[in-house]
Amino acid sequence: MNPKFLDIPKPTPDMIIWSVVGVAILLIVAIVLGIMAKKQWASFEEYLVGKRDIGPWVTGLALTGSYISGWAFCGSTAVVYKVGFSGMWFAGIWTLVGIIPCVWLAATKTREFASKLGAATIPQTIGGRFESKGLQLLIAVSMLFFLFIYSVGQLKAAGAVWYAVTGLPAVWCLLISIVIAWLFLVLGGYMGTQWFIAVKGAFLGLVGALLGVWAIIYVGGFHNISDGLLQQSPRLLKLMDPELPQVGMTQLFSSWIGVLSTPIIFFTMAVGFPHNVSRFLGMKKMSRKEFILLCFIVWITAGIPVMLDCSSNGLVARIIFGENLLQNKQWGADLAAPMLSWAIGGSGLLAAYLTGLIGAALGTLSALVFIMSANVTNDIIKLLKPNVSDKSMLYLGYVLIAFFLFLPFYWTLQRPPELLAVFMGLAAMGLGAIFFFVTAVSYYWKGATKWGAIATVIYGTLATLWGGWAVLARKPALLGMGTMEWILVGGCAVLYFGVSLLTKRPSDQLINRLFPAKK
Amino acid sequence: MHAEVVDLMLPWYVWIIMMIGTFIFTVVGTFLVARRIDK
Repeated sequence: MNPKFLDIPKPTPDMIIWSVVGVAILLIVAIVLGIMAKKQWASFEEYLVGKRDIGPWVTGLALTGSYISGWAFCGSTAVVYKVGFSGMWFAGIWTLVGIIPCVWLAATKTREFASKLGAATIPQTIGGRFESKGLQLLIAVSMLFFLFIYSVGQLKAAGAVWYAVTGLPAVWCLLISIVIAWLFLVLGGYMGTQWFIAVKGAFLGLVGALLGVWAIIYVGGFHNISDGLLQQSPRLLKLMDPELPQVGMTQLFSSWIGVLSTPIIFFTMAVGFPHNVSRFLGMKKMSRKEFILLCFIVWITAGIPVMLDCSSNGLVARIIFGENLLQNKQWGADLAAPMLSWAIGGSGLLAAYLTGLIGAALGTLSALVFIMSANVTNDIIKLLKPNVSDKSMLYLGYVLIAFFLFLPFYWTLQRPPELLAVFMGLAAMGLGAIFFFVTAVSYYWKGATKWGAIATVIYGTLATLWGGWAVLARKPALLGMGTMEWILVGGCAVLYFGVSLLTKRPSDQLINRLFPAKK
Repeated sequence: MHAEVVDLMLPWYVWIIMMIGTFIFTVVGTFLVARRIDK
């Protein structure tokens, strides 16, 4: 440890008590919202999508809550803490360039298409858009695959930070959290999930903005941050660091191909993520004013805090802790954000941060788990056996939610299988690349066909699997993550448009219904 | 001395320009998209 910098503190009774109280309040709020939301649904369809009457506040905050995962709240600060300014392109700056276009491109269209087609899920909406049950099934299976892989890592940072901060084993905190998540998902369905994620989104926005602004003021402003970084290493001030490896993940910080791929990664991920787009399924028909309010809510809660958390916070943590956090072999740079909150705001701010992080992990996981359960019940079983009763589907859904919550919990405590761990790194990129075209572009381009969508799903899935091996598993890596993004998005685009142009589009009757001529 | 100050602040200038740029991007884009929605 370098004595010039602060060291990781030993847990104190103060830290433990405040952290336990913070997380307990979060979980009590989750149960209350689940019980309240129970009164909002009476049928299987309402359980899946509510009454399609949710306004801009809850929709906007829920979008923030689903998009800001444990990684965005914790892992991105760790990236900047480790590599300095060159990491901020990937970690934060481009986040806004993704999440706001998600509202522009997907909000009103998802609501409109799902409502016209009587669809309760994204696969059902897209299957209806292309008049293809086969495509609905394929999308449900593909989404299930990607969301499952993506969900596995969601609790990891929360568990690690809980242990590092309180010294208490993560098993009980996480177990109680997932049992409560199961309760509010079962009780509240879509509405319960939407409300919980919205409360979490508002809390994350508040804590994120507070920590970001406080940290910059605490160290005396921008000039002092740069000065502190320069004293450690001039490389930390570089906007792009060519000395880092040009293959693997660090390509995103070390070359133009990598840096330029980051806005594409965030744009396609934010617009394509099914758990983001699903936030609009239960939205009411918005007026112009309500739509502007929706954009503003997302910007103020997701945009600003994430930009600060993912860029300046990592730098401030670096000048306070130096490389001391990296000496911790178990958690390393993941401790940058929580330790920063402790250094500048003591036990109170640390507890608020920890509560936010557990909320971030639990909220995104809940959104993913609810979609996965609906994928199986509504888009696979109900599609193949339409006569199965809604009651049976509900009960099966409850069991599936428990299963999909339990696996990430189990793999947080036990190492996930090697193969799964490799694909986790690219699952988010694959999800974004596939569903940006299959969902968002299909809302706007009449010429899209089911064969174009099918080719995109198959290519995107295979390319992601290959990319996981080539970028993350192979030693040394075959290519960089930025190059892989161009291969993924480029291939999906060529197949989606190319195959669509060569094949027959849906009936004119459907196209005229979904794309009415402007008055 | 002056050159050193400029060098230290250069990444922050880029950071601030990006902040302002994304703000303008958000406002202009929201205005353009909202125009297509009925009052």
